[in-house]
Parts: sequence; C-alpha cells; structure tokens
Amino acid sequence: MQEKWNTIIKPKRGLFAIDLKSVWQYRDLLKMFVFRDFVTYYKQTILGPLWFFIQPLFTAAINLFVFGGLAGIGPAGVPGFLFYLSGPILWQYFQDTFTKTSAVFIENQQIFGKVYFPRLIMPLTVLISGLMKFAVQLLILIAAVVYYYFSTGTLSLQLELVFFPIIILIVMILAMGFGLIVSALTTKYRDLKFLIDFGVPLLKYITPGIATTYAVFVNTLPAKLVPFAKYNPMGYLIDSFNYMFVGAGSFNWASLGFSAGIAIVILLLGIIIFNQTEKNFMDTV
Amino acid sequence: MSKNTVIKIENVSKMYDLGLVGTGTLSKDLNRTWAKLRGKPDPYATLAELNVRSEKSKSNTVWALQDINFEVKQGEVLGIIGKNGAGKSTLLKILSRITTPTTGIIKMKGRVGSLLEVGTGMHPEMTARQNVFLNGAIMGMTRVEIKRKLDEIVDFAGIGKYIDTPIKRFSSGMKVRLGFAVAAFLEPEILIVDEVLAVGDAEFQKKAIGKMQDVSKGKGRTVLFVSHNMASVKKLCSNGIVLENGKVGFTGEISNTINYYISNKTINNKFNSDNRQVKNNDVKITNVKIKNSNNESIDKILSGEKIIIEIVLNKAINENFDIGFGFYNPEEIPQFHCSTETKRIELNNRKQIYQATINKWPLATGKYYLNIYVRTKTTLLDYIKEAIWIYSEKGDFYNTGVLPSWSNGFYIDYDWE
Repeated sequence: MQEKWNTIIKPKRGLFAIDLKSVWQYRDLLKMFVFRDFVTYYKQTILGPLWFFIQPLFTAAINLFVFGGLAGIGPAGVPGFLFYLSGPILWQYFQDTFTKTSAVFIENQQIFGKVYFPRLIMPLTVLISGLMKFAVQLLILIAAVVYYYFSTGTLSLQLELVFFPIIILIVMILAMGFGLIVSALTTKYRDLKFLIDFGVPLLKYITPGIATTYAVFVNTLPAKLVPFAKYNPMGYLIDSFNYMFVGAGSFNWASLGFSAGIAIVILLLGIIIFNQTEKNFMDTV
Repeated sequence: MSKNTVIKIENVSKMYDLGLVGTGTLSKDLNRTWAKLRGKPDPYATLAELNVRSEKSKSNTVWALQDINFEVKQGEVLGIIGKNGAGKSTLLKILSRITTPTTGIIKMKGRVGSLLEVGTGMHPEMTARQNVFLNGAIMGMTRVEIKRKLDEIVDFAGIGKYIDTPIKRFSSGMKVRLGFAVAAFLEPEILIVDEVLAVGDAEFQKKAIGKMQDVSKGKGRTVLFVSHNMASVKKLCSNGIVLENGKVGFTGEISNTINYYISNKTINNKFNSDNRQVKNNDVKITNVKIKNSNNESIDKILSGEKIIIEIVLNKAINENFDIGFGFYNPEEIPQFHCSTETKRIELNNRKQIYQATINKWPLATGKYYLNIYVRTKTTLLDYIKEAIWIYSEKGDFYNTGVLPSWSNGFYIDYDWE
C-alpha cells in the first residue's frame, strides 16, 4: 500500500528544493510581520514617524555641504539638494535591506528556535517593511521636486520615470540576494556581522550616484579604480534613479540589464545558500 | 479497524559538536568538506560518544540521539519522558523542524503544530488582539481562521476587556494564558507539546490539560507530550516512551512506561547536588546525611525507627534563616515536609551543621527522596532536588513485635478503647 506522507524530515535537502509553496501558505504571517514592524517602529519615540523624514533631509543637507560645497563635485545644472536627496534614499533602502537581511538568523533565533515556519518569510519581511519606509521617503523627494518646480520653474522629472518600478525591483533583488548570502555565513562566523555593519555604509562612497553622477565619478577616479565603478551594479541603478527624478545622471537599458543580470544571479545564489543554512542553523548560531 | 500510523521515525540520530561553537569551526568545516570531497564519512562522527552527562567526554562530538525508531498511531497521546539531557528536547526540535537529524528520516501525516513555548513572537507594544493574530500566524493559522476563533480565544484566555491593551501592561500570567489560548485553538492533526504547561497558575493548568484531553479524545488528534511531571503524563497520555542517553529505553502503555522510568531511575544513597536549582550563591548545602539513632549513616530505614537528617552548609549564615526538606516518592508525589519555619525555630547560631530528628519514620516500603532548601525571609539561598534517596522497609512501627499489615502508605500512632 502506498502511503501518503505530507511532512518528511530528513538530514539532506536538494540544492533547489526550495519550498515556495509553503512560503505562499504563510503569506498571512508575512503580512503580520510587516504590520508589526510598521506599528512598533516609532513606538516609544518622541518624534515618531517624523524620523522617516528627518533622516533623508539631514543626509541631503550634509552631502550637499561636503560633496557639493567642500569637494565641489556636485552635478551641474540641477538643484544640488534634490540630487543629494534622491541618491541616498535609494541607497538607504539597499543598505537597510542588505544589513537587516544579513542579521536575520541572529536577530530571530528566539523565534526560530521555538517554532517552524518557512524561514524565507523573515527576509521577505525585511524587504517589504523597508519598502514601506522607502515609499514614504519617496513622497518627500516628490514634494521637493514640486517645490523646485514652483520656485525655479523647471521640472526635473524625466520621461523615463515610468520605468522607475523596474529600478526598485532590481534593487530589492540585489539587496536581498547579498543579504541572504551573508546571513548564512553570519550564523557561524559572527565577525561578518561587524564587517557588514560598518562596511556596507562605506560602500556608498565608491558607488556612483551618491557623491556625484556616474559620468563625473568615473572621470574623477584614478584609472585603476574605474572598474570598481563600472562593475558596481548599484551605481547604474542609483544613477538612473537620479536621472528620472532629478535629471542628473544617465539612463540606458544595457547598464540596467547588466545590473539586473547580476542581481538575479546573486538572489538565486542567496536563496540556495539560505535554504541550506536554515535547516540546521540552530545548532551553530 | 486498525488505526493509521501518522508519525514514523526511522533510525533518527543527531550529533552535536561540544564546546564553544565558533572556535575552530573553520578548520573543522574544512576537514569535513575535504572528507566529503574524497567520499569519506564525517571524520568527527566516528569519534562521537553516547550522551552520558555524568561522564567526562573524551571526544568533541556527542550523539544527542542515536537510532531512534518508533511509530505513533492516529489519536494516540504519547508521553516522552526521560532525565534531563536524555534527548527529549532534541527529539522535539527535530519533530518540530527547528533542526534536522544527522541521519534517519521522519514521516508525518497531517498538519503539525508544535508548542515548544507559548506566545512565541508576541510583541509587547502590540495589543492583545494584534498579538493573537501575530502569534496565530506564526503557528501557521490563516487570518480567516484566527478571525473565526478570536472570540473563543479571548474567552479561553479570560482577558475579555483587555483585548485592546498592549500586552506589555499584562501580568506574566495573562501573557501565558493568552499564548496558550491561541495554541489551544490551533487544531493541527498532530500536536507536539513541551512542558509549557509548567507555567501558569494551577487553575489554568487544569483548564489547559482539559483542553488537551478534549483535543486528543474528541477529535482523534495525535499528541506528543514531553514532561517531567509524572502526574500530568499519567493523566494525559495513553502510551509512553522513555529516552535514556539518547536511545529509546522503553515504549509501551503509559503506566508501564512510568514504572520502567521510576524503577530505572538512578538512586543516589549518598548526597548528590546534580539537581541544584540555585546557581552561584555563596551559601551552599555541601552535604546531607541520613543517620540512625547511633549517629551512623544509613541508606535503609525501617518504619518506626528514629532517624536524623544532618545538613551541612559550606559556611555559617549571619542572619536569620530557615531550613526545610520534603520527602517524595519516585512518582514525585510529596509525602511529608519538615521545616524550621513551621516549628517557629529561628536559626541564627552561626553553625554549619544542623540536624532534624524524626522520632518515628512513618513511611512504608518503597524508595523516597529528599528535596532540601535553605532560605532567608527574602531569598532562596540554596535548593537541591533529589539530594539523597533512602530505601524504606516495613518495620516494627508499634513496638509490639508485630509488623504492620499494610506495606503501602504510611503509619500513624493510634489507641484503642
């Protein structure tokens, strides 16, 4: 008699045995986690949700002072403040998703040690919670764009703006992919967490689109370092994003295709590694 | 009709690395990968030993579970018992998919719900209602399901009017009740429960155990229950399994299982502090002896005998304090209790050795153990469970040369007219 077992627990798991079906079954949990993040994020703070706004505005002001003022490498022909608002917002989403995803096993070992649910729910929570925050900050950017339209009479938005969801999608894939890879390693080698916590924020200084546009950035760099800018998938993404909203940057499908290609490879790799780690990480974390 | 097997556990073993995980794991990992590449078995697996905690281990790996095989039928309530470190928790973790076995396979039929903790993932800032949805979702319920049962859950937890209060304002008891209430309405086909019932007040425990009985009896669900509490295991379970050092020692009908567990319990007729409950206090009980009236240590008492319990502390205590001890039978049922506070005796005489005299040992034939504590009015200084065991035999309790007719229970003095 053929018996039907619907849960089978065994030591090894196929490389591609990724249970997306059960992730889908647990979609209500994903919603609850995102809801939890949202309602508890600004509890116990005085300024509350204002923090969503304060952070990018101050970052923009400081960047404008340092890069535009002191270093004098700000983009020409567009309002500097707008430029230094848009790039860092997108970068911040990438950085938050990357660092938080990479800490997912360590931060949640309490829950993971007591109950089973598809572990992939947690990185997805990080991704979507972050997206909410990003959406709020995008509103500030749009408000700033509108402000400059009325004060200077020029609208900085470009026609390619319609493609901006594609950029966001690639950033999400890339950040989650990197995060998943590192998360698997941090369960054993805790040093990595420190490296990520201070290293990822530093990466933005070698990413085009933060300090200045891609074109200016590549020209300023010593020839030896140019490949770092060229093969940095985030560079194209931020530069395109800046172009769409601020008009300073570039947009071409080839570069986006390159970034998307890297992002997909990284994500697949990340999911495979994460999937292999989740089954036993409680023994080593 | 024979019932379906719903859980099948085949040759399950689990190996753990001992010591500090994280140091030297890189070289170990490389060694393992190298062995794997050459098609050799894990070089550390062969060194692994059985998990006997009392012996100092020679290798760095240990088998927490080894070759576990058993099946569970539908509707069965299986009690898993065993000493601390026998592998109960590891088995539970594997069954609830927290971790995977090193070898072997487990097959299960139906939705599995595991309850290793109540209220997992609840957030203090969120209201009770929000937490019910969150906790329910963590345990695999859908939103619709939870919505349908919300009223029942709130009712069961008895938190009616606090439903929209953040649970950080709740007492710990209320939180536990809320957590258990969500779990109670989980309705999986297979429920795996750890000793979570140990928390919460007595009334609620009763309610919780009742609920679990309903679940298994009324709806034909399968329950795996791990507990130290023989009374609740006996009450709840139909069958049992004893784990000993990572292996299955016994399986069978629950009362046989408990008997096996009790009769195979290691009995220390000398003082043993393995079950010390208070860690790192500088006042410690360093010895407990049971002596006869000639001041000689004994490991066997006859009922009616005069005995002396001698307690030695590592240092004198400078404030008022109390000492107390209780005797229990192997099923962990309390027999009697003696303490300085009930006798209104104040101890502050800076001695290190204290003696309690029991003029007529009242218990009948059997094995008994003693739990002992030392405390001041405010703090528990030391508390040791199963500090010493004693074997009792029927003796000449009435001093008549006639042995009492019963061998069970206890003896009392009485008069006839």
